[in-house]
Amino acid sequence: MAWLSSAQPYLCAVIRPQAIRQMLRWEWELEYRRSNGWFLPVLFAAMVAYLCSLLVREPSPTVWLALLWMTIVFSALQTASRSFSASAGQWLYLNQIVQPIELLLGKTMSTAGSSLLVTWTGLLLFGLWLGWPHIPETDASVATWPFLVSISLGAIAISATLSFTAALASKMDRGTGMMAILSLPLLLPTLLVSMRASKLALLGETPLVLYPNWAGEILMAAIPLALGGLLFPYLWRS
Amino acid sequence: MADIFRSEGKMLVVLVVLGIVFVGLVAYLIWMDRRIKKLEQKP
Amino acid sequence: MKAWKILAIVLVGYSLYAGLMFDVPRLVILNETIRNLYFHVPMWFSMIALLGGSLAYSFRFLRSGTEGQPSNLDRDNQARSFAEVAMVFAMLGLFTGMIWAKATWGAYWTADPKLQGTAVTLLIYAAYFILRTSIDDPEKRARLAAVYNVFAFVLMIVFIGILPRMTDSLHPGNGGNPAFGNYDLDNGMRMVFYPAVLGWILMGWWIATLRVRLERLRYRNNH
Repeated sequence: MAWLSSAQPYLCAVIRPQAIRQMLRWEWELEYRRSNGWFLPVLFAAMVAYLCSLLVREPSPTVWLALLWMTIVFSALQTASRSFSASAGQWLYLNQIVQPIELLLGKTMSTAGSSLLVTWTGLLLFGLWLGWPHIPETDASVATWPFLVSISLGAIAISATLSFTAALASKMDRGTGMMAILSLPLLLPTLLVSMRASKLALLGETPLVLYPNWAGEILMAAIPLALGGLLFPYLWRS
Repeated sequence: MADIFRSEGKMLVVLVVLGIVFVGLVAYLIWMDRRIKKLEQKP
Repeated sequence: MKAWKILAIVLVGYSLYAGLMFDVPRLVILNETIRNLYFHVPMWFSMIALLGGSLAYSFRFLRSGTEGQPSNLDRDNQARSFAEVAMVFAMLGLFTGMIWAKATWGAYWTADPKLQGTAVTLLIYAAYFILRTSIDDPEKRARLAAVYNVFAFVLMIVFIGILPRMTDSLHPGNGGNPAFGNYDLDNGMRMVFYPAVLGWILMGWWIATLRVRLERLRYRNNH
């Protein structure tokens, strides 16, 4: 495989911002401009949200949060498994213009972006159909922004892990079925941290309490990315 | 605590029982180790 | 019989005798069950040691395929075998822990982080084995499994190491529980505990190497 000449500027000596931009532009073209495929995970989130609204009438905050995270996880699974489902010809083209690490980073970024869109949609629909969680002692206006931060960071962290497992699953013959089994155990640490962060945010805790949890979420996004960067060349060899 | 139990010598019984289990399993391990070594040296 | 195997037998045998016969601190609720420390906890140490071995072999397998050299599939065999035996120890640790929990905490399972870490570890490695069975080509299977192994191990360590410190726990030594701190282990329990841990790790390693050798024989017979 012939990489582009090293005349382009490097970041961390291995990643070229130019290539990342190219990667993202490719994703944008393929997913958003030419096809309506991006709508699928959004629709999925909507359907799961509606299903949840049928299952419980006015859930307690704990149940509300649990259902929300379930929705986010499964919608993110949909998003991520789509990101690595290109045809053979498209892979050939992609592999010639970007290096493996850039490919992973680009895919992760676009998956994170899609996940955020899907997550916010799910959140809004939850608010519409299930109402907002009602916690008597807390002031809703104080809790809103930290809550959004917790949810968003969690979605990004989930995307990081899922991008890697999607790449792994795409290399297998019957990979798409395997993706959920492979991803869910690996997501459990991320989910625990995110659940805690969002619960504390809902309770209206001070930022001092929230910062370690947000740091935890960012860590759970950084670790899969770092590991992915290390392992992706081995994975992508054929 | 199991002081009465011990004073009647019953702890020794527990130890012997577990000891038999342990010796049995270790003997099996050693036998398997020797068997595999023999197979490895065949051709 | 290699020296380390004899050491394994001696150490575990010693921990069995001393674990039952030597004195232990008299604590409320736990009473004599504190002796489980010598048998239940080493299961976890062995599991981690074996999973670490599996990780090392997976890593070496991945490295072996670079620079145009054919990859060493035996390393993959070693990685898988060590993970297998690690899972056996994990199950043993889980069951012994559940029995102990029922006796002292009143329930077989709680929302304790260490228990959650165990469940997560078992699920993660169950997925590892499912991944292995769903790929036919041995080369590809070895490569994808090795990649997953490295990824999964790091996440597992993160989960087990970091998260218990963030939350409350029923386990001794975490979340403000008094028992099993330096205080108790100084009372002579360390004399039995450390040999027990080392002995069981060596035992686990022995069983794993037997597994590796058995697979090698089977591979040799089929080819």
